[in-house]
This record gives sequence, C-alpha cells and structure tokens, in this order.
Amino acid sequence: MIQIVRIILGFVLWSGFFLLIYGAQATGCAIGIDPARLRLVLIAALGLGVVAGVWPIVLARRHASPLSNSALLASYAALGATVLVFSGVLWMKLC
Amino acid sequence: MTPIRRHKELDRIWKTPRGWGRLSAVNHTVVGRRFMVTSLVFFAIGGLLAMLIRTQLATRDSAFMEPGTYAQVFTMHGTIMMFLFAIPFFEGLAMYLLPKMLGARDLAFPRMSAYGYWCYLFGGSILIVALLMGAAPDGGWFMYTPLSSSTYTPGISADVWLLGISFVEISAMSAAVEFLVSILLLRAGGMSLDRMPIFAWYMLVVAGMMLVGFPPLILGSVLLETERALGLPFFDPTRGGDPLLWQHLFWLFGHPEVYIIFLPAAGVLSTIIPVFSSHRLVGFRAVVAAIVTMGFLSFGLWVHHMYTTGIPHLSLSFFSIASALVAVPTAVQIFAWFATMAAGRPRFSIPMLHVGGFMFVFVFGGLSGVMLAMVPFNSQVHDTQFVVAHLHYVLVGGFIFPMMAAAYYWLPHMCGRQPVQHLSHAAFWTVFGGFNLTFLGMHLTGLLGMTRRLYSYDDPAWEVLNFISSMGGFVTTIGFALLALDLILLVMFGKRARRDPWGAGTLEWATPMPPPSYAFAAIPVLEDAPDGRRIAAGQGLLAVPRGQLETLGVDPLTGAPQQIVVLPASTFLPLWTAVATGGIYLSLLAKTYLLVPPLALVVVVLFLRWTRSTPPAQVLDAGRGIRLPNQSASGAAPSLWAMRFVIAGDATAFASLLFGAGFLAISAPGWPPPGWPEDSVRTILPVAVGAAIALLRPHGIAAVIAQGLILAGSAAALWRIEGATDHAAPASLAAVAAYAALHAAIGLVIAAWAVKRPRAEQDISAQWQRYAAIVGAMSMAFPIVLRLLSSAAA
Repeated sequence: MIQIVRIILGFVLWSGFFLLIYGAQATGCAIGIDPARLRLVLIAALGLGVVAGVWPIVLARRHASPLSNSALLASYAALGATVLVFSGVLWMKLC
Repeated sequence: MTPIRRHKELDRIWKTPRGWGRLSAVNHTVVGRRFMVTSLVFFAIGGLLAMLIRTQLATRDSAFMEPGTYAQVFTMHGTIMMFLFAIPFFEGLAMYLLPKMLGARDLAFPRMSAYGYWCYLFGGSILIVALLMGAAPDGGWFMYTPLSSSTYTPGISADVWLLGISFVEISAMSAAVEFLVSILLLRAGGMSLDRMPIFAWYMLVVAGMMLVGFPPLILGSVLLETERALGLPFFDPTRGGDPLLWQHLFWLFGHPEVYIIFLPAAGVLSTIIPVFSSHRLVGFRAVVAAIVTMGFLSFGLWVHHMYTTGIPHLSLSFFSIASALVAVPTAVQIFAWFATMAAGRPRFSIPMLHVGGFMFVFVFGGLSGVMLAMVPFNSQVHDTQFVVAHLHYVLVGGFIFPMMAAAYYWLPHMCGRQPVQHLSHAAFWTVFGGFNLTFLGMHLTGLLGMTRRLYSYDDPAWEVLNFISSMGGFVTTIGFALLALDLILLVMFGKRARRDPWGAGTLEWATPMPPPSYAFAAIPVLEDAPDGRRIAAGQGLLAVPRGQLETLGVDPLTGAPQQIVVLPASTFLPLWTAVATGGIYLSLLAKTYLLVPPLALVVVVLFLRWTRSTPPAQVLDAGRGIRLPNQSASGAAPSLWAMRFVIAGDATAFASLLFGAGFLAISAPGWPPPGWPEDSVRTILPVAVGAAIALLRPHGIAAVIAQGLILAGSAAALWRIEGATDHAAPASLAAVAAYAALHAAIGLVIAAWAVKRPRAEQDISAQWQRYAAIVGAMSMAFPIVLRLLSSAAA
C-alpha cells in the first residue's frame, strides 16, 4: 500500500496546504489580523508547503518500484501546483 | 472436469433465477446492464426536456411554455442529465466491465450494487413522477439558496430534489466503496498495480473522488432540508445563516463531479485508442500521474463557480490558477492519445469515429474552460449562455462521445453481435453536426448578453442564433434516435461476433460473449498469458466448483493470491432494504415523521440480516497446489477495507459540517448570537468517558457501554440546545451534536451485533467504534472552538 500512498502523497500535502493557506487567509481577514503579519504567516505556510512538497519527490527517487515513475511525476506536479496556486500570497491584496 | 461440465456447474451456482427471481439479481453483469439501460431511459427523458427548452427559445416572445413550467423543465433537464444519467451510466459500465477486466468473477459487494440500483431507480422515478404531476423542482439544477428556501419555494418541489438526490446518491456512495475495494483486492493472480488495465486506474481515482466528493452535497442537502422542514436557519442571512454556504457545499461536490464524469470516459478512450492504433498506450505512467493530478486539482477549484460573490482577490487567485492548471494533466492525456495513434497504425472503425468526435468537441470545450478560469472573463460571461455552451461542449464532448464509442466497442461483448457500420456513420455525423449547430452559436448569444435560464427574450439579434440552436437541437435528437435504432438493430440482427473481435487482448475479451454469469471458468493467472480457451479449460485458480460463489482476493500491490472471497448468491434482501429506505424518503417527503423511526429500524434489521451469509473461517484449496484462507480467516477481508473507506467518506461529511459552521461564524451576518448554550459537565463527561473507553477497548461489551455513554451525552447536549430555529449558531451546534449522537447510535447497534460474532467481524466493528468516539469527542470540543472563532471575528 505504501507505493499507492507515494503516488498521492504530494497531492495530499498540496490539499492540506490548500486548506491551511485558504483557511488562514479567510480567518485572518475575518478576525482582522494585521495584514503585514497575516502575509508573513501565509508566506511561511507557502514556504513550508514547498519544503514539504520536496519530500515525496525524494521518497519516489529513493524507492525504485514499478510505480515510482508515476509517483515521481505526480510529486513534481504537486510541487509545481503548490508554487503556482499559492504564489499570490507574495504580492496580492490579502482581504 | 470437462469445460462443458465446469460451465454447467458454475452456472448453476452463479446464475440469476428467472421470472420474479430476476428481482433478486446481484450479479455484476445483470446489475451493470440494468444501471446502463435505466440511465438511458432517463437520458431520453432529459433529452425530451431539452427539446422543450429549445422550442421555447426558438423564437422571440414565445408563448409555448409559461415561466413556471419552463423553470421545472430546465431544472429537471440538468438534474436528470447530471444525477440520473451521466453518473449512473458510467457506474453501470464500470460494474459490468471492472471484474472482467481485472479477472474476477464479481465485485466485492454484489448486494450493495443491487441495493444501490434499487435506490437509484426509486429516487429517479419519484423525481419523474413529480415532473409529471407538475411538482418538479424549479430552482435550477444547483438549487441555490435563498431561492430554494421555504420562503421563496413553498410546497414540496425543492424537497423532492433535496431528498431525491440524497437518496439517489446512496447508489453513488455504495458504488464508490464497491469499486475501491474491488479494484484493490479482487484481481487476477499476479496482476500487480502496474499491470492493471488503465481503465481500472481511472476508476480507482474516480471512486476515490466520489468517496470524498459526494458527502458535501449530501450534507448540504440534509442541512437545507432541515432548514425547510424544521426551520434551522443555516442559509438564512436574517438569522445568522449564509446562502453562500450552500454554494460552497454544492460546488465542493459540483466541480469534482465534472471530472468524476469525464475521467471514466477518458478511461474508455485510453482503452480504445491503443486497440485501434495497434500500439500500447504511450506514456502509461505519465497518464497514471495525470489522472491522480486531475483528481486532486479538481477539488481545488470549486470557487471558480463563485467568482462574482465578492470573495477576496487572493482567494480568487488560488482557484483561478488551479482551474487553469487542470488543463495540464488533461493535455498530458490528450497528447498521450495522439502519440499512441501516431506511433501505431490507426483503424478508423466506428468507435474511433466517436473518439474523433470527442477530440474536436472536448478540446473546444476545454479551451473555453481555460477562458472561464480567468476571473475577468468569467465575471463578464457569468450566468450567460456562454457558460451553458461551455458545459455542454465539455460534458457532451467529454462523456457522450466516449460513451458512444464504448457502446460500439463493447457491444460484441455485451450481446455477442458485431457493429456493421451502415447506420452507425449516419448517426454519428447527425449527432456531431447537430450538436455543434446547437451549441456553437450559444457562445455568441452568451457574449451578446443572453443569460442562462431566460424564459423569454425580445432582442431580434438573439433570435437568429437561438433559432439555429433550436434547429441544431432537433437535428441532434434525430441523430440520437438513429443511434438508438442502430444499436437496437445490431442487438437484434447484427452478425455474430467472434471472440475478441478488435484484437484487444485485455481480459474482458477472454470471457465467452455474451459473458456467462460466472465470467471466468477459472481465475486467470497472468504468468500463464491467459486466453479464453485456456481459461475455459480450467487453467487458472478456483477452477473446481465447490458449491459456493468464489473469487480470488489478492495483495493490493503485487497481485499475489491472498484469500478466497466467498460472495453472496441472489437474494431479495437488497430490494426489500431499498424499499424500506424508500419508505423513509417518502415519509420525509410527506412530512409524516412518525413513520421514520420504525422504517429506520426495519432498514437496520434488514442490513443486519445481510451478515448471515458470512462464511466461517476456513482454509481452502485454490488449485495449482495453493491453499488460501477465505475472507473470514484472512485478516484482510473486503469488508474491513470497505469500513475504512466508509469512514473516510463519512469523515468528509463531518469535516464539511464543521467547515460550514466555522464559515458561518466568521462570514455570516449576525454573529455572535445573542446567547450561547451553557456547557455542562453532565453532557461532556459521559461523552469523554465513552470516547476514552471506545478508543482503548473497541471490542465486546466495553464498546456497547462506550457508545451508550457517547449517545447519552450527545443526546443530552442536543436536548439542552435552545433557540435552534432562531439563529444559525445553536442550529450548527445542534447539527454537530445530532451527528455525534447518530454515529454513536450506529456504533451501539454494530457493537451489540458484534459481541458474539467472530473476531474478524469484531475488528470491522472496532474501526467504527473508534471513529464514532473521535466524532463524539470533537462534537463536545466544537462549541468552544465555534465560540472563540465567532468572538474573534465579531
């Protein structure tokens, strides 16, 4: 089962960071957190997401198996999606 | 044993009885066909409604239909096509094909398939009866609040939709669990995941998406029905609710739904194109990665239906980029298909003609989809005919054309007849031409400003385009009528097909055509390079009938034989259980709430009767010198896996409920409420103690006591909540407490049932006990979190 998990691991992390960043942004805006501080929190979450997104790539490279090619490609896609989807936290108006 | 004797013996064990006994069918071939045929009947009804819509819009100031009737017609057209045709059709196709492609004799839970079919048939039929009686839903297929609230939609029309769709979705959820377990566990010997047919990979991802995609819709429907029936104001902004909550819950389901519909069709294409190109699928592993990527990304773009609701730009950027990104894995698949054709020698038989239709129409729809992903453009064409044109290009291109290809491709398998390609070409070109005539111009009417669901218009510039669309609609209908006629003629008079007529080489073609009830005389072993004759001769596993319905259970990754799964024979239990479930639905619809508890009890008793056929733990001869435990002795029974998946789906619904309450606390007007219910040790303590016991000792009498405590505490918490109809805050707390109480009650029943059952079944129960304990504990902590959130946002 661990090989199936490796295929989806990157996107499971992406989903988690999607919820975290979207939730933090919406909640932060609703409760009136200082925008500069909120941006720092969101950028930190994005950084964490990128670092975490490298982990499935390392796992897929380290453990060769018939499915590791698919796992590697899906992990690259997840990392790319993390960088692109959340890049707005660096420059867009938060609330 | 001779092949003829083996066939007779296996058929005696697996066959569905005749006459009234047909209603007891649980076999995947029979149930799969029923799903497909029934969904085609609904497709015909939905198509008829589309003709009524096009007649109304053909000319200016048309008096063909009055506005109320028109609203019912467009609502039911969308509802039928999405919920009663598209999803059930691919479910039926997958039910029919998956076991045969995987080398199994049936799906893991045949009675669940049959139960799902009856629920689908009853729920769908009630929606159609409501239409005939003029009481059909009329708020659009996504039932936006506040239009669908009891204030603006009195009567039962919205209730018919909310309850009916929830009822129908039972079949989708049961199919999701069925497919996941079957694909992972029931395969041919040695069929490792990387040797699994690509269609099964698609269905594995689709089933996972269904498992977490449908619960938000079911939850939303329950909340809206609760608001309509009991007055709990989740969506009423004057009492702390928010109509946007419905949009979030609906589109959390609704957008992945598009991909849930597209991916099985893409699975068909990935199967058919290599066969007709005489070349293996180029980039198999990249395609697998693309399917996974699409599956996940599709859950991250639900807000692209809500760009105009005032959401902050940063949030919009997340969804806009995700919406655009999803084009990448789609393109990976399309390029893989083109590369396969380029690398091989394509034969343009009739299924490939429909593949060509798909390529043109879907790519066109996909490009307008990328346009709609962009916020500025989307804001301009939001709720216009442009969107209607786009979604038809995507859904007809992405689903109907591949399914027509599938119909011609697997026709020889289903009925033993071969397409002869005379009427087939005319039918294709009529549908293709008519479709483009209908919807191409609709992009322009949308850009000219014609909104969707418009009952009447007076702009002459729109009339020409609308008239062309209407004519195109009728041409399309003629095309579908030709297609239906062609298929009927082929089934009745087509020439006999030889085995594997397309030279596909996949396992489903190794069965006789049409397939016998048991599918495979012996379970194939991939190392043997199985073909139809060898399998019929008994070369494989479980070739000697033992008087029970047996198929092979394998290791999910390697495909190594792991267990013998004994399946249930034909039984009326799924039918009776669905009838009782339908009784609950009708009681809720008629607002005769006193009938609900006894009917729920009947459903529980009937479900518990299903467990009687569980075999005792045994180790059996599987053939070829291999001895394997049956599922009761294996420690990895399909039911154990099914419970894990059920919990995953249920946890999604619970998470959606908590998200909904949190969303209201920070976004809805009128929060915090005038007063909060007081926390009480009398309610928290029993839940905390019960949860601790259930987590530590989820077996035996301890589990019964634990769930009894959680139920008592949750029920007491529910009882203490006052003013649930006055404000969404107590209503949300009541919903969470009721959720915990319901799960504890289910836990109590399962725990009591499992006390004297074998250890394997107690382990299945234990999983639910732990989960219900976590739900109970979270429900007790949730009021504190909600209060903090609400206070901070005030």
